[in-house]
Amino acid sequence: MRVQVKTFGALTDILEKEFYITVVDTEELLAVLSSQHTTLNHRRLLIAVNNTIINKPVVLQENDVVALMPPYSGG
Amino acid sequence: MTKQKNDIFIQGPIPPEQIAATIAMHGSKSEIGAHSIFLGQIRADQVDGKTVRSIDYSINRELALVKMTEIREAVFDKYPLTCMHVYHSEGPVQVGEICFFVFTSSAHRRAAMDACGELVERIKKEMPIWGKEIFEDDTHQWKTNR
Repeated sequence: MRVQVKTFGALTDILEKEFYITVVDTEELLAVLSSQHTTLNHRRLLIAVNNTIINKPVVLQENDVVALMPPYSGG
Repeated sequence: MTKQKNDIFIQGPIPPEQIAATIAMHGSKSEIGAHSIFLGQIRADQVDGKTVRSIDYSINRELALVKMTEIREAVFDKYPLTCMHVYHSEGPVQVGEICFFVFTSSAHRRAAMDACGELVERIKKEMPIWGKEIFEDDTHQWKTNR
């Protein structure tokens, strides 16, 4: 499925802020990005699909929006 | 009970005048007996001999507004508050300027003070906000919360 990916925080030093990619699920998305950018390996990430944080891999639908987020550091 | 509008983000620093105006705005609410205020200020941290000059805040806005609604409702449910106001900066804020403002009001002090503290902790932990610390030589590192 073709999904939109948005990146935040330190990830924007490594990846584009927004891009489209075709993958089956969030696991494949992370595998593809990690293979292209080895600095992503073992990095702690929070993932939201359509503004809902997920705690396990999720199958993606066409036009889903996936946010890849490092640990928060507001305040 | 007054719930603020959804958008808590202010471009750049939070002006001290806005903080004063927020206090003044509550003068007509005669049921209030206590306000509690938290202000976050940009600190000139030293890292490997370099000094932080500013923090550039970025936000996942869509997720932040969902999360803020959740936090606001939970805190209103838990404490007998009259009012709650939260503001956080977006974009660059210089050392010494205010980047985070939490304001709670209640009839008696304990609710305002406890709710204010809980809001500060939850917002720092749960809101999708990132601080990019800019050093005086224009290099940067990404802030991590303690």
